[in-house]
Amino acid sequence: MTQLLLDVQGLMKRFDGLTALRWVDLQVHEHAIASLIGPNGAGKTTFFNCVTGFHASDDGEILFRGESLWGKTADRVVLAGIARTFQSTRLFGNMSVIEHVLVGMHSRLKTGVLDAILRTPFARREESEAAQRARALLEFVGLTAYEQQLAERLPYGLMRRVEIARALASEPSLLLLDEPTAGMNPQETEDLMRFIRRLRDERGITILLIEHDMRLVMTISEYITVLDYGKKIAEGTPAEIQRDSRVIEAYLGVMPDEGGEFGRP
Amino acid sequence: MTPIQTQEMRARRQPASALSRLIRNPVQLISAIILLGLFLVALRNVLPLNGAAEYQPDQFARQLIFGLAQGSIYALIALGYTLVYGILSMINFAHGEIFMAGAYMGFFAITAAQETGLLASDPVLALFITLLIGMLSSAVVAVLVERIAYRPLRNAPRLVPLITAIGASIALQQIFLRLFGASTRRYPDVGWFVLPNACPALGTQGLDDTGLCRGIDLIGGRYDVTVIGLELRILPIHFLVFALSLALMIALWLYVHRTKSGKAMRAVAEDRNTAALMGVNVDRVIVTTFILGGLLAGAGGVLYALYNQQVSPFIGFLPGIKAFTAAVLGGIGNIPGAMFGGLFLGVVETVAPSMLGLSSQLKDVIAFGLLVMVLIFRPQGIFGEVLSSKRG
Amino acid sequence: MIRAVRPALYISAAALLLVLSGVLVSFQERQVVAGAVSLNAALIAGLVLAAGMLTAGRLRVRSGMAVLQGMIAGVIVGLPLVLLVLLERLIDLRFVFANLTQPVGATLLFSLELVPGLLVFFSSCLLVGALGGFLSSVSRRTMRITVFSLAATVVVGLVADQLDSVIAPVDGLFIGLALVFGYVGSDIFGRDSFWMRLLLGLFNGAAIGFVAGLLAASGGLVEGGGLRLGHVPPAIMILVPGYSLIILPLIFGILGALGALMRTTPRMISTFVHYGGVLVVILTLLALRRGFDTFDAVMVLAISAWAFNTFPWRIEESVRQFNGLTVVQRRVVRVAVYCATLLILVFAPAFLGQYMTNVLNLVGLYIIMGIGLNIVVGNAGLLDLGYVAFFAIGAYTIGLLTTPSILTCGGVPPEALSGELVLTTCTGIMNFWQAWIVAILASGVGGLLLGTPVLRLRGDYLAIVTLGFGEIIRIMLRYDDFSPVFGAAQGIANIPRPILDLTTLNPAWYFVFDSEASMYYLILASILVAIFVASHLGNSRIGRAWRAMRADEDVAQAMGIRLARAKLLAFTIGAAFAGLGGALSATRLFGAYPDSFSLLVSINVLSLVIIGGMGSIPGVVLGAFILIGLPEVLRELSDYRLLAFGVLLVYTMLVRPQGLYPVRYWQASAQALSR
Repeated sequence: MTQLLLDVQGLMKRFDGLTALRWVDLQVHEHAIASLIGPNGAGKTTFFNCVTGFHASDDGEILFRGESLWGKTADRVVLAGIARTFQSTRLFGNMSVIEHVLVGMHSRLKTGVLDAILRTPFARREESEAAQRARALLEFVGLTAYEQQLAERLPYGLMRRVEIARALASEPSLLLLDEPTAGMNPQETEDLMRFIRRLRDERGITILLIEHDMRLVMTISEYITVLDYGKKIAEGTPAEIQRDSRVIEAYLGVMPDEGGEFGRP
Repeated sequence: MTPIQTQEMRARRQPASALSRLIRNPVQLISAIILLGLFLVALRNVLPLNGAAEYQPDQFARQLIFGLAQGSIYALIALGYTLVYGILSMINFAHGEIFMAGAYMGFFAITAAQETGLLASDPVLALFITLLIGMLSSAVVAVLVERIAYRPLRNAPRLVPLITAIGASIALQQIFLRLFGASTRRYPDVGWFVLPNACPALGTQGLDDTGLCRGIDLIGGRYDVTVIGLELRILPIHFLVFALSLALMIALWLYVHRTKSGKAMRAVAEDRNTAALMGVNVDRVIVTTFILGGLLAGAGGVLYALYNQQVSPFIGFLPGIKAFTAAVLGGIGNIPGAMFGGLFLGVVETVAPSMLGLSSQLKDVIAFGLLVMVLIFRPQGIFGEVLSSKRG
Repeated sequence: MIRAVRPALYISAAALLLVLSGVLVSFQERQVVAGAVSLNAALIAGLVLAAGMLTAGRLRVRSGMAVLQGMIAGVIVGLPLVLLVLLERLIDLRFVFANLTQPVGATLLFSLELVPGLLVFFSSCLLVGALGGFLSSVSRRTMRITVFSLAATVVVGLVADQLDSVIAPVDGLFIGLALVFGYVGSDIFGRDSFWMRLLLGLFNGAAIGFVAGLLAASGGLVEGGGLRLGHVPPAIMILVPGYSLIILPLIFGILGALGALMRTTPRMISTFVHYGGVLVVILTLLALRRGFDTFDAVMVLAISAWAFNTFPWRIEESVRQFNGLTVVQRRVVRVAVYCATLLILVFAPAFLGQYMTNVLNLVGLYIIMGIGLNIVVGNAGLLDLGYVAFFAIGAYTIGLLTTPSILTCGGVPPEALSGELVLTTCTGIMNFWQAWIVAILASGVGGLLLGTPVLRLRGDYLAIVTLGFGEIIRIMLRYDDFSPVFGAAQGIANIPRPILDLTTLNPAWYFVFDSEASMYYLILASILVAIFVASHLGNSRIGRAWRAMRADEDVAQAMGIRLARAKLLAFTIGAAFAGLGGALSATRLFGAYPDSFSLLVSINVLSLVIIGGMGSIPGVVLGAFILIGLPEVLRELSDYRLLAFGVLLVYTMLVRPQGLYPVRYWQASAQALSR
């Protein structure tokens, strides 16, 4: 088996009185495509937030390449090599597509205040190299034509791609995607699936995604973890998950309204 | 929900102790040292080290009474900040000017009462009308501000309504300044006499110009009395202000907790979108909130003007900021917190300068210093954000 | 129905408020056009016109209906005023409305009797309203031209007596000639070749400059000389006597080149040159004639109407041409424009009089502060309401370090020392340049110290804490017990003016910045440095981080941006800019006084940043000229200045959140990245 990349043990998160995550264990191996699923309100996004340092978790341990991320703020987590996207697109108004990518590179650039003010040769070189890399990345995600446009004015599908490009710009080894297909049509979902595979195959990036589209999850994932009410109720390969009675109960038994998500196109 | 599985109970993460956190945070450490120093200075002034103490108990008692009266005004204004913050998570910067509007309109009302002779013949009714007009005009101004400056921007980034709030604050002050002039206007003297039986106890202090005693003057009177060995100068107006403010705050508390509309308010404060889904008319709740805040601020304005006897377009600025401090002190979004914060601030800023042996010029510095200290040590305030904790 | 006339209702309310605030009383002596149009008439007419236009424009109806709509709007605005005049006959309004020192009727009714006055007033309201309605029904363009040129005429009329000495007719004539000849000459002979056109422009301008030089040398321009038109000494006479045959062709050559390039420049420059040229023409005309009568008004109206009619498409054309140029040519255009701008800026005090230089200096100080606050508010999105505190720190630092003070005299209060002793004890006195650096650092450290505890908090707390901090600083400076240090209410006086001693390089280079004009150069240099620093920072990794933070803090942090550090950096740099400005201001005023550091200054700076356009440096400059410069020149408006700021802040956020001169980062970044 390949090396363990992310190892979360006993993660615990409370919001006054409400326990959002209850001793969740989760492992992601290097070069894997893993998924985190569960009914609405199961704590999936909270899990992401805790791992990426948005929320301070109350207890547990988060190991990334064997180093603890517990208690680190979001900016340190990025530096360690974890990038994420958001459930609802959160782009910067007033910034072009390429600027989003450049902001994403922030943690990998070193231009300091004096460099910036004096525009030293170092700053110029770094900036133009950054621009080159940003263009390459935009080409990779297929946004070259929109480089100078305001990201917020792009169509929805492209906005999600900007978000992914921005996350990729920080050169992560683990990418957390929070419902990347939300609001996409079947064709776009199909494209995204291929894109995720390319990310892993061509760039060697490990993927952990939250997803409601079961078809996508079952096709693409190599390993699935299921959360319900903040607890891990199952994990395993897609085939195992599909057979697991607790998963079916969580989706169908407890919340019949959400059952449709299994068959959502 | 499944019961907590005790075998999984692990406590690897001990919360850091207060002391170790203090040492790790240089800002808190320095502030703590400053506070300690101030405390020692105060202690030296209070304790009779060599001979008599610098700071006497009767001075404290006098200042306490004044501070509570002043503080109850702050509390009334602070409630407006807290209510609006609880619902909209924004600071209504113009609230100080809303307070000023009440005081100013109250001035016109009470002057009209004086002109018509109502003030002399039935001071209670005149004062009641004044209070009512002050409250109503503040409420009207508050609703106007909400309608014009805040409502269109409800979903804008945080910075935007903050800027309109500042703009509205400047504009309101300037409109009053342009319309009614820059000069300070004086509230008329009011005599509201009660308890004629107390005359013998008052002695010469109860007599007016004609040598007649009509009882205790609740508004304009001032009496030197000795209570349990302390020589005090009692201004009944201070007690009146305190009592009236308390009554209004209790009324607000009952409104928020006992009425249907108050329930809707709490629901919106908890989660605006869910409340809207449940059929709560969010716009109406917000307007109600502004009306309530305005009414309280207006009452505060009239009471403030009654004992200061002066109004000008600029009187809203300082009480406004101080009331905000009070709201933060008690935990913004928290109704009892605002009441407590107001009283606390009122007392501290009256007592602290003389206790520390400083000039009263520095009164405002103490209020701001308190604000900064609260933000450094306990930004959620003493009672925390009760109304809007979910959004923290 | 209500919806349709809503603009008129708003304007009516505004008119009523203005009238009740005594605006007519304070404006009544003022004439826009001598003997023809008073400021009161212009104000009311403007309001009614606007009401008519907006009401009719909202409905998009045909002209007959539009005229009717305009008349209705006229009634809506006029009727309350008529009723007010009648009401004040019955009761005295003066107790409530303290600024209404004269009855409204006396100022509104053209000094007529009550009934005929009201009739005339009301019918003129109807007429003007109808005119507004008619204009809006013709075409948007006509409406815009009319409104703009009327407004321009009113503004020129109001400032005419301050501006009639701004520029000497001869100067204006030559500047205009250089621009026009540069433009026309290059247009006739070098229409197609960019280089040819540039050369011709340069040559034509230089020729004009040579003629000017000859004229200056001829003696015809001296006081009482036959060619001296007007009453202002021409700048071409006094500029560089002796070298005028070399310097003048150079200056005018660049002006000529500017004229030639008018057809191929980016938008901002093209706009500036076009309208600037017209401004020179108008100023020249004003200088030729004293006062501002009907003839002048018609002339200004005609010129500005022509300008507003033809310039927009000329500017479009010029931008189109510019975009067609090669990279090298574009760079040449930029360099030429920079040269010309610098030239204009350097020689501005020579052309403008003492008074206008003074105003420019004030505007300049606000530009420096605005650029600083723009980093804090516009880039990083931190609302700082106590910005004046850092301005004060800068001013007091320079005051304490360049005068005998407790700091420079080794801890001894200078009052305790006799005249002789001051010299020997106060060895710590620094010269301006050293103290300036200390002042900038001190303000920066002040920002760091204040920022550290509060920047971790949410934005709205920051606003109020900084507000409090600004007040604390002012109270401390005024505090009596600190008077040995800060001088309490008297502040620190006798701050010396800077001296630039370069005698080691050249014995003649010994400059004392003792006049407003010399301070102008110091302020100008500071502004250029400030713009340099701010624009480089803004277009770097750091500026991007700030803007990301302003847009969405959480996401910015997820991009690896360390929020506390980025905020602190913005706050510190902003504070340092304020300190730079404060030091200059104290030197300019020969002193630092606590009352000049009130909240008002913070509000002024904040307003110009926000109204100018958050994050936009040209917006700051524009904002400073409009919000600070204009009220300085239009003294009548200064009473209403803060009211206007308040209303404009709300209005900007509601209607045009990007401000007057919106920033276009993505274009700036495109430029930076394409290099």
